[in-house]
Amino acid sequence: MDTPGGPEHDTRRSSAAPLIALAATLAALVAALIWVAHITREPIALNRQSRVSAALEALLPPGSYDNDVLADTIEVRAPELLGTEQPVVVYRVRKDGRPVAAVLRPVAPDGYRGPIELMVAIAYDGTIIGVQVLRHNETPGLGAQFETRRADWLDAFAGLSLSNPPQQRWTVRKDGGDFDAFTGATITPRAIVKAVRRTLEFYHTNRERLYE
Amino acid sequence: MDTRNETWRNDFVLVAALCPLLAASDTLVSALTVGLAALVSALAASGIIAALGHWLERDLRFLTVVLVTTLVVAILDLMLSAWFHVARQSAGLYLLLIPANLALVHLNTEPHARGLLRRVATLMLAVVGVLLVMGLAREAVGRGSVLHDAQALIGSHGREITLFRVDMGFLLAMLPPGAFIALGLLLAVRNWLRASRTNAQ
Repeated sequence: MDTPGGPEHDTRRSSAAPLIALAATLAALVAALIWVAHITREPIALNRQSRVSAALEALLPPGSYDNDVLADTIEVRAPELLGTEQPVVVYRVRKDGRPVAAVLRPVAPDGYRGPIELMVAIAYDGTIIGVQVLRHNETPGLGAQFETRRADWLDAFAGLSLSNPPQQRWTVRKDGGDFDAFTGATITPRAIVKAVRRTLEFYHTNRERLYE
Repeated sequence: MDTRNETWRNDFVLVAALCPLLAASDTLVSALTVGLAALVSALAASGIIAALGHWLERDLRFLTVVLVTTLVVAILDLMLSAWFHVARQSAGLYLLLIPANLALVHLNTEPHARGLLRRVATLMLAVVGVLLVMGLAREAVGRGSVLHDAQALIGSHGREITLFRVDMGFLLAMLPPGAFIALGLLLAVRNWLRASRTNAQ
């Protein structure tokens, strides 16, 4: 039956219905996203934690400490030296109650493709025990050579300190320093070397505070 | 539409669907991860879009495709980070390109075509196939191995097979440009096969 309002009503319906269907679908998908984010939060946090503990294990020889390093932490903020506005976690390593080392998680903010998250273990006297890369977006095969082709590159940091080598040589060879760059990639090594040196500076001025 | 034109169009859609994912084909495992992720999210997103099908006008279609695929990929990305985080790490960057890839695919398929799901499935299976071939070839040439990092995907059963020992051998094959060179070679082989078949007839 034709009513005067009929056709007009129909056109309005045909223009509104797709929008409603679209909005309903998107709302359902957003709800699904929130639900998945909720149930995956714990496994994702665990994955991150396991990467951190694997890196700690690689840095600290077993038997060199007797405290629960993962639990004995403080947070510090030093955007200038540690490369991030966020608080940086410091793991304190002790044996028989005496400080052995501190492991910091600074960020090299100027990687080729975004920030590089590092883990730097520094012995109490200020020499580096080791450096690990926790997370990065560097180009596979170029900037990311520290994890494949030049897997030993990060080892070069072990034993160095703020005065060894002297400050002006704390950079890549290309800039007159002591560190190798990678074939085809200078920015990544430069960023990591700079971040490690600044972490040493931070440690130097804040050492006693870190172990409190 | 004559068949020649149709073939050209299908080729274009396949290459357009491949391009954003090409760079992830540096090893067999990362090609498989990204390929499967693209296949699953393409099927899920196309299912939703096909269900919405007759509600959608042309103007709304692009917006819908982009929003739906982005949400589906975001959900998949979270699941991968939670349960396949090692594989997710090597392929992570490229997963986020899947929505772009799917938008290209949907723009180049007829809006209300029947069997949208089947067409997308066929196309994405072809994409996975090409990615696997390229992953196998690039890994063998660039790294001298097969199944590098296989543990990431299939657990302790995965074992890397070393074909020959090299120090990242042929780096160009592993870098993103290597993917385009490999695709070019693959297309050349296919065209050659096709040409020799037409000549035989």
